[in-house]
Amino acid sequence: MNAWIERQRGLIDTTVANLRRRKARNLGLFMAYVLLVFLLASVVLFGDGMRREARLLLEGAPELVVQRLTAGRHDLMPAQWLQRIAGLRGVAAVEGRLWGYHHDAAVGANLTLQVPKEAAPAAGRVHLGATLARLRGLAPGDVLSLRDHAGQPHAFVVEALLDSRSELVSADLVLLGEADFRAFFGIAAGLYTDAALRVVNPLETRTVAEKVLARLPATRVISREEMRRTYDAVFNWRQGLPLMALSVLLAAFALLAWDKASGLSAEERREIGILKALGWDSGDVLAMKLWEGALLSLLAFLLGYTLAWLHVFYAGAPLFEPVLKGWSVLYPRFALAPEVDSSRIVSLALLTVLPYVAATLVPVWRAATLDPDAVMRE
Amino acid sequence: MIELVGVGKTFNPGRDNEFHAVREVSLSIEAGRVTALRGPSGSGKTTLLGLIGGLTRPSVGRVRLQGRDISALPERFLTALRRDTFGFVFQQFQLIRDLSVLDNVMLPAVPTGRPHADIRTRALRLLDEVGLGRRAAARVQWLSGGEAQRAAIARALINDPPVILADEPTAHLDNVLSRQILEILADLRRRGRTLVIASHDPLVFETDLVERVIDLRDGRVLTVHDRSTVPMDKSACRP
Amino acid sequence: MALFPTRRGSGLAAWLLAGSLACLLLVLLDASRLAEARARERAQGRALVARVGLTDLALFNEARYTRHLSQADRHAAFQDHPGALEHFPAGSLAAPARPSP
Repeated sequence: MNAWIERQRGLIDTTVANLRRRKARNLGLFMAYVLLVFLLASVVLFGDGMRREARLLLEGAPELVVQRLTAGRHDLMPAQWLQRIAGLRGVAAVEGRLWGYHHDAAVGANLTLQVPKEAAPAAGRVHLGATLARLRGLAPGDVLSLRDHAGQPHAFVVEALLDSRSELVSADLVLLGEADFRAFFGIAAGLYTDAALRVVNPLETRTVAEKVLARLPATRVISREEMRRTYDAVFNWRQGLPLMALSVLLAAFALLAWDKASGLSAEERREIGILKALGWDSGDVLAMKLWEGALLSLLAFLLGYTLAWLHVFYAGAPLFEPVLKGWSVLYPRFALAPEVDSSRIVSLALLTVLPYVAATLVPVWRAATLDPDAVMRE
Repeated sequence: MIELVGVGKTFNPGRDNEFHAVREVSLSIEAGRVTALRGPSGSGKTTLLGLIGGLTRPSVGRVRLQGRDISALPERFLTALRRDTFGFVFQQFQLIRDLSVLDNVMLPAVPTGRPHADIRTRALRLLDEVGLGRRAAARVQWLSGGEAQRAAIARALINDPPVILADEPTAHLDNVLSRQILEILADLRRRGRTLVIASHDPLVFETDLVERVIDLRDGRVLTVHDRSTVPMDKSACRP
Repeated sequence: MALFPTRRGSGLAAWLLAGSLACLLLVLLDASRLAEARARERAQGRALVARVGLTDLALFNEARYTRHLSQADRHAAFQDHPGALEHFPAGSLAAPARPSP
């Protein structure tokens, strides 16, 4: 047993000595590897984190939302419809929601104006999302001037800023009172944007939804479960374009490693021949190559993954901001919560380690099994 | 100690470039003596050396090491046996560049699983003995021809093998350096090792080093002279 | 230390691996503490969702059908089409929602 350990240590010594021979190149290769793992792990961790965040944040969203459709497009809902929905069995409460979009040309931002269920601001006053306030440099007491549906400027006094810890749901929010909302958008009393429902029995949500549709065929009913699934799908890392790009990169990297190992130059072939002539058998040569691949890829994985973890959960994933922000001018400040998922870690480790090890080992197989006398006949 | 019975080696058998490097060679190598394989290039010296040392398997015939047939041993056992029994000195030195002299000398001992410190100590001692003690940390490509050959000899000795096989040990070396190498080999002989040297350098045969000469031509044994009994025939030393 | 002498390549390799493994374990061990801290922060967002009756994250503010992903109506461009992705950069991350079974 001891001899076996010493032998492996000796093989590793030789491996490291070999790597040191071409220090600059191997270091460059290694750093590229770490970068790749970092990007891949970042995407996975970010996707997982966002999915969890969305799920936890939106747990208290309305159980059902009913939208009116006219000619396939969203239309305002009259108050009578709310009453008809309220009359359905299984519906605990109905509430007409008022919300809409406003494009603020001053900063090029799209705002969401909404009337909150509770604690609406007083007339002429608004509560602003922290991101928006930052963008426009507004603080409580300042005035926010927006042009309404008729092109008339409305001056709102900023009563309060929404907590910056809620930016992920409130980045562009402007909360205002119902009267202000209707006046601003020119929406008559008795009309609502949509209806938010609470059901008596959460297990019966689907049934209630069907009842609503039966009673009001020109509607679209969205359940909280569907909302959840939307965000699950959004942050499913398998569907991400960046992940596709990264997978291609990973494949390219494995190809590079393969090429490096299999385009065994005459020099490398000769050296394997020398080792064999000196008393190394094929198993030793392959073990040495295996150690080389395993050590490099393991180290690259550990470093890359740790850096990715720090990037996503401690640094706020700044690399993804431009991707998510896109053309928008508003990007919320938020922090994701980590969760240790060992199966995820293991699968990511396998994904990054195995191809590389295979790529360095397989091409060497042939040369390692050659007759050592070839080196004599140079 | 080593016996070859009806040994032949054919490369690329059955193909257009089929080449019989060694044909029907039967000989024996005695322990503790210096045997030389002599012949012009292409006579099969190198291949025969490889057959003796278990570097390659014979196409026909048997190779026996201390009575034991090694020609059909599985690779793992053959390699282990070779590691413990033979030390090779190659024609082109065959040191691994960019590694230090010390690392090169220690290489054959790595698969043995012996403690690293032991191997290292022994390697340094061997380098001292061949006069390279101060060059242990140098990269091998910085060594001169003579130094490289001495490093190769030290490497061949790391596993303390009883038999040293040297292929053209004085090629690429001038007379002075050649004599140095031959002196080192003579010292090994004095300490009881068996030497098999393949060479066509007349200098090798001018000294008392070689005790037995096997002449080869076209892969066959021409003659076998035992120099201890037969006086040296200078006309046989052809370049 | 004789166990991991760094002069030997295997010693260096062992130290590097041990070191990076330790770093990873450290961050993983900190995870539960950090998760709790984040949960406390998240309470603000959850409270707002309940107070206002929100249904979506305010993450993709480019267009209405990316801003309210779960509410976007059928007429919004390519709502259910698999190739919905090119109009806005954020669309590359936002796959269209699958219809309920």
